[in-house]
Amino acid sequence: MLWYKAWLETRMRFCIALVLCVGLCSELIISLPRSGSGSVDLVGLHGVHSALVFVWTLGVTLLMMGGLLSERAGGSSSFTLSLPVSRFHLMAVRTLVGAIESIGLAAAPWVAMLILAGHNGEPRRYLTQAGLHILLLLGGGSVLLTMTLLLSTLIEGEYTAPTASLGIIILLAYTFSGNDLVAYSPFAFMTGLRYFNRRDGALSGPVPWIPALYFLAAAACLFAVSVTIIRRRDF
Amino acid sequence: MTWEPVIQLHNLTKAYGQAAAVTGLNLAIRPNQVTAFLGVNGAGKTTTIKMLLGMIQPSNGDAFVLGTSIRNAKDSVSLRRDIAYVSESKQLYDYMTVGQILRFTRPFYSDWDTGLEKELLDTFELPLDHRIKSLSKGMRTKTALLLAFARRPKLLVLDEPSDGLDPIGIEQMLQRLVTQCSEGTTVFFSSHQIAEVERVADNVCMLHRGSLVLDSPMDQLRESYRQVDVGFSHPIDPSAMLMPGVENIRCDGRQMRITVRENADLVMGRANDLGAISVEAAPVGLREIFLEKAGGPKYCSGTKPG
Repeated sequence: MLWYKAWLETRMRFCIALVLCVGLCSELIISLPRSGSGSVDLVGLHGVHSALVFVWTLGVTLLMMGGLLSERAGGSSSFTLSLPVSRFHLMAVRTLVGAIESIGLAAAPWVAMLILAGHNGEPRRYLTQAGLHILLLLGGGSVLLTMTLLLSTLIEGEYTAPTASLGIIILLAYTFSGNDLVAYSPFAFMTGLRYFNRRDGALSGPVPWIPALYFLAAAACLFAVSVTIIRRRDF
Repeated sequence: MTWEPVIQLHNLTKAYGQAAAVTGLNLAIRPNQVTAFLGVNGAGKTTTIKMLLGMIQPSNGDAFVLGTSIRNAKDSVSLRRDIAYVSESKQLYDYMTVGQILRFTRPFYSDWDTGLEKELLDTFELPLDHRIKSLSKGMRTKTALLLAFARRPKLLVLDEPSDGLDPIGIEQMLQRLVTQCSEGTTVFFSSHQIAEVERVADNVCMLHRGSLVLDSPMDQLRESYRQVDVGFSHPIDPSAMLMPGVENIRCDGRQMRITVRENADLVMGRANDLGAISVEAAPVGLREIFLEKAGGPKYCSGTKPG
C-alpha cells in the first residue's frame, strides 16, 4: 500500500510534469522544418531531446519532493513511522515510484515526438534513436533523481528541498560544463552531445553502457547515503 | 511484580546536546489497564512515547515494549503491528480522503476490524469522500483515533487524544478507550485534561523536567493523598511538620496547608501535639497533585521535605 500512498502523493505533480514534457516536445517538433517526405529528421529529434532534458530535470525535482523530513514539517511523519514498515522500505518505494514516473516522463514525450515527427521511411532507425536518448536521459538522470532524494533527507520543508535541489543542479551543470569535467557530467550524458553525430543525428560509436553504469552506481551510492541518514535520524 | 509489564523502561534517557529531555526513566506499565502519562508541556512525554515507538533513539538506557527492545530496529517493525499510535499533532496525509486513508492503512494490519471501522465511522460521523486537508481539527482527531481503534491493537498509545475534540467527541473517545481496555488492549495515553484522566485511568505516571515524579495506581492516589489544613494560635516553625510522606507545606501566617502523600494521621497527630487549634484533612484531587508535582515542591522558607 506504500505504492498507493506514493502514487496519490505524486500523481498531481506527475501529471503536470508529463503535460509539460509532452507539450513542450510536441510543440518543438511541430515547429521544426520537415523533409520532402514530411517528416522531421534525426538531427531535429536530437535537438528537441536537449530541451526535454531541461524540462525532465525540473519534473524529476518536483516528483522527488516529499519524504519523511517533509512529512515531519507537515506533522504526518509520526503516522508514517508508526506503520509496520522499515524506513528503508518507505524510502525504497518512494524512490521506485519516482523512478517509474521518471521513466514515464522520459518515454511519453518520445512517443509523442515519434508520432508527430513521422519516420522518413526508416521506422526502426527512429525507434532506436528514441531508445538511445531515453537510455541516456535515464542513466544520467538517475544521479539527479537520487541527489534530489538525498537533499530531501537533509533539508526540511516541503519546498525548501526542491528549491535547494534546483540550485545545486544549476551549480553542478555550470561546474561540469568545463572541458575537463564534461566526461563526468550527467547533463552532458543526458543530452547525448558526445555520442551523436551533429550532422546526421546518428549514434557515433558504441552504446555508452559503461558511463551509464557509472552513473547508475553513483545513484545507488546516493540512495544508500540517503537511507543511512534517514535510518539514523530522530523524528 | 506478578504481572508482565507491557512497557518497561530501564534508565531511559534522551539528551539533545547538553539539554536532557528525559532522564533515567524507570517505569513498568501494567497490562490491560489504562495508564495516564501526565506532565506539563516540555516535560518529556512525547519524547518518551516516540522513543517507545522507535522514532527517536535513546541516548542511554533501554525499554521493552511487548517484550521487545526498542533498540532492536528489525523487531521494531513487527512490533508496530501490535501497537496503535495517535500522535500529538493528529496530522495525516492531507492529499488523501478519509476513505483513501482507510484503504491505505487497513492492509498493514491483519487484525483490522471492518465492523468496528464502520461503527466508528458512524459514531464519529466521518465523511469518507472528504479530503483530510478539508477536515476540522476535531474531525482529523477522530480520523486518527478511528485508524488506531479499528486495529484492535495489543497496545494503544495516545498522545493528547482529546485535543481538538468537542465534549461529545471526548465522551465517545473515553468510552471507546474503556471498551478497548476491557477487551484486552493496554492503553497508555498522555493528557493535560485531568478530568479525563481521573475518569478513565487505572494508573497515573507523571513526568516533570524529564524525570518521573509519580507512578501510582489511581485508587491508591485517591486513598493516600490528603491535604491537611492546620491552624495554630502561636507562631510555629514549619519544619516541625516535616516528616515522611509530607510533600509540601504552604504557610499563611499561622495557617499551614500540608500536602501529604501518606501518613496523614501521623501529620495530624503531630499538629495536635504542637498545640494546633484546628486540624482538618481532606482528599486531594489529581489536579492538585499535578499542580504540586508540576510546580515542583514548595516549602515554607527554611524547610525541606521529610
